[in-house]
Amino acid sequence: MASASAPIHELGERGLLPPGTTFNDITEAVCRVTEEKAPRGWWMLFLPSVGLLGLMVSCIVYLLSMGIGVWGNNTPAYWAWDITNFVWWIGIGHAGTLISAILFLFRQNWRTSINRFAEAMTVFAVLCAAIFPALHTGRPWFDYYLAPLPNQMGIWPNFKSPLMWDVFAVNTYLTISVIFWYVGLIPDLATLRDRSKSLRRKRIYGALALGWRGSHRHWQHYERAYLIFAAISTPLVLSVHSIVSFDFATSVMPGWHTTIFPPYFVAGAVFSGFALVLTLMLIVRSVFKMHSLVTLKHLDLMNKFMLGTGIMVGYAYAMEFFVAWYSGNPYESWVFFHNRLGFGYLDQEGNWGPLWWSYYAMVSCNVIAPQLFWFKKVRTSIPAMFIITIFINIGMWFERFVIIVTSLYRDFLPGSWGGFEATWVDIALYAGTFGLFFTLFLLFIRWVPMIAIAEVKATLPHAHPHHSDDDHADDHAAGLAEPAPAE
Amino acid sequence: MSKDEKKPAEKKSGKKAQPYTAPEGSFWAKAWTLPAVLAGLGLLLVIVFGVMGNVERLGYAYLFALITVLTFVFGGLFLVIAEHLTAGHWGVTTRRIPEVVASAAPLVGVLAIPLFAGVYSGSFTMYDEWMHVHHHDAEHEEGEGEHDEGDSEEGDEAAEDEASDEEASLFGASVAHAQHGDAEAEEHVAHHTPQYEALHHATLQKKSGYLAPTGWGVRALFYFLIWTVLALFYFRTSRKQDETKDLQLTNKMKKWAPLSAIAFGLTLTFAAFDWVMSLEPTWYSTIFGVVIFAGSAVGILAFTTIIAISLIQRGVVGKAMNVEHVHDLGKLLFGFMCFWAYTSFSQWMLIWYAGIPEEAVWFHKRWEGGWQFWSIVLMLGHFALPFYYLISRMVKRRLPMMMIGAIWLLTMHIADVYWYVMPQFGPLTPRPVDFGALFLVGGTFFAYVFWQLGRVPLVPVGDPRLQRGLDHHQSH
Repeated sequence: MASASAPIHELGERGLLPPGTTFNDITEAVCRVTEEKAPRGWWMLFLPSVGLLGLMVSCIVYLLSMGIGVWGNNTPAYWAWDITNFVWWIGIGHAGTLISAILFLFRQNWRTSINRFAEAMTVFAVLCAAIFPALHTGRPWFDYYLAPLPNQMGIWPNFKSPLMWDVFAVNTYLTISVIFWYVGLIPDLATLRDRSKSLRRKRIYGALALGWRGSHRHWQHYERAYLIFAAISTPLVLSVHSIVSFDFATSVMPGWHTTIFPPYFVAGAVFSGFALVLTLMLIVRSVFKMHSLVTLKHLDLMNKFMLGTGIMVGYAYAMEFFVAWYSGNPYESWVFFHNRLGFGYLDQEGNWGPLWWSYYAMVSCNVIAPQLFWFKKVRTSIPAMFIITIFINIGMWFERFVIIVTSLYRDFLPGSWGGFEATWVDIALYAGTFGLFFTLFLLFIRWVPMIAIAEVKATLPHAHPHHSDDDHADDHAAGLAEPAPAE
Repeated sequence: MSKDEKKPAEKKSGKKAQPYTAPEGSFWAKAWTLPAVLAGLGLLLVIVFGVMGNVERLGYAYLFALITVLTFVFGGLFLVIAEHLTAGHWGVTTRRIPEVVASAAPLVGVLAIPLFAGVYSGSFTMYDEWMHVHHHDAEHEEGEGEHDEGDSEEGDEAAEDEASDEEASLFGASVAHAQHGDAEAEEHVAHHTPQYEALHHATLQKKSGYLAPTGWGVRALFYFLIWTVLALFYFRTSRKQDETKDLQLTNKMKKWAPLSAIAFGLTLTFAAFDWVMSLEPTWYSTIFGVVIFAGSAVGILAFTTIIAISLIQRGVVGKAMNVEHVHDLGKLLFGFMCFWAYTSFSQWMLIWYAGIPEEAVWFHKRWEGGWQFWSIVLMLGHFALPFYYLISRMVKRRLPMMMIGAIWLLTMHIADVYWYVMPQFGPLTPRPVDFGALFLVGGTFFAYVFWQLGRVPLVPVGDPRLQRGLDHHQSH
């Protein structure tokens, strides 16, 4: 008799990994990336990334010497690309926390092939994000004022400001994400240590593995710690982007002040985070031949997740629009119909808001493009999903741009209207943060196990306590019914 | 998994040919009589204190009762659809409970008839402000002059009142409510200036594209149609699978789950707008649908937990439901309780922080006239206290303690719905008719639910993932 946990083929269930995958296959596939010479593809990505990182540093130096006037920000568009980029990068990080914490609590085993990867992205994305508000203060050398340090000057942070809450939220998020990521890494670092051929490698990985020997007691502590971190991280998934949304929603700006912002921002963050995880996963999977560990089944599930979160974001857009109309509030209607939709509500010259196109870019990328994921053919087609995830990344950037700039630049008083045009520093600095992100990310891939070896092993049928009851029969049956997914 | 493997599970309950069904003469076979008696008592109270007493109050009380049972239908649909969306296994054994609750959707439609009859006949006045906005047009124009004379001290405002209609409509919303807010700050019962009246009226007229009697009724019919189709589809398909054990039925339910979720989410939102948000017709909040959804999830999870524990304690379902399932239900209940707090807090905090009068008025009404007490009870009782209680693993794994937690949250959920509806009537003054309406509507609703639970298998015995649900044990 097959055990109850065996896949029910009639329901379209199947094992996560191709039948016949052994523990050793997983260890080999993951560890060899850090042990062999980097493939050409890695260098082809790494060198341009370092170049972009250089661009970022140059932009920052230029900005510090000239002042933030080199950005396109103006009156009334006080916030523009800087805050757009900040929110976008913070959002990217959310997939990592969601996958490692919430999907763990929901016992979604398929997360094991992508969680390590996504957690690393969280850490790097938060670093990229932090650059923008730090520079946007105008005098970054005074940024330490943001910390609640008792000081002689008697300057205290304004705890009533959501911008201040943001500082705490993001710092907590970064701290917990780093610790959680590292705790999860310990058993895998020990695996690398044990496979090391050179003494230097052994020493370094040995130190990082904190003396892990894989004893029963170690595992017990580890599992407990992992559970506790998952529980601590879960509220963080919600809190960080909710507080980012408060930066806008506590104001009285039409287009900013709306009560659905907190859950809407969280859904959008998870949506964009999944998209970037998938974009990168597809590249890495093909460069390092990870097809047997990240299967089409994983990709299919991630695409479903994006479809779901994309629809939630669409729901939020719809609610904002509906209520802008339903409220009867002329300023709300103005922002949504004139500044964004470009429908009705003409200005004195009989025109729509000049940035209306950014709203259409947002809706087509975020709401329309993911609808293709209703089709299984699209969900399992690598080129299709690659293109759609890039659309989502672009769309989510536009979402923040639409919220920030199209609310600010034409608001209550026509006399104080303005426009917005990005400068080359805006563009180059944003491009440069990709350099920072990819440099860190590519180094991570080369030196750290990019897939959680121990966790993936636990999803194999041999890892189940009752496996011996049915192992050969089941493997055989699975093998007959489901050939390994071909690509 | 094939049919053969189902047999050992069926044998466990062993007593009857129909596995997992409440045995004849047992508590669960006749449990429906309890809510039925309550419904009778409710009817009596409604007649004495409502129909023969305060009919206007009865309107609010009946709406409160109807929204309460409706949130259980929402919750039931949500749990069932979510389970098919995620193809989860631990919830299989308890899925029949939300299925049965949701299947009461057409009954709620019938229970809604008195409400609609009352509103359209003019006996129930809670929507009058916008329902009759067109009818009052003529009266209003005439009335303006009188106002001018009557409130001569407020000559300044009266002068401004001469402002052209165009201006009134452009700045209507904000100016009107700035006035409204000031007036209310002075004393609870607002004394409206003529200017306020004019602008308020202009705002309502602007909204008459949505808040209009015909559209409101047609939409309601549509919502009930959708809920009935969804609920009966999942209930009947699942019941059919009990008999046929057909695996394909699971695929069929799964296939329709995503579209069902979208239809459910949209109808829930707009129903919440139509029936609850519109009680304060100039108020709006984009998160409102999500808040109602969060409360509904708390309600159904508390109810499912209560029924599951009772079934276990009375030994009706053998080992099909056990402490592992209760533990998981408890975790979800805890999670959604936090989600309720998160959405409710977001709504309150953003409105409080911005302090725009047209939005703040809604919370103002819930902080005056005794409602402050109720608001604080909800903060503590619907979140703070149960947070510390339910966070404990020990509590979630002790059936009697979990039972107390679930009953507590179920009560709080009903108090929460009361808080959405009743402050619109006036100061906090619980009346027998409130209980009467709740007993009548709730009693009828649960009499049906309990009657159904007494006759169908309490576990979806045909579900192919049932064995996994039976084997379920906690990994953490």
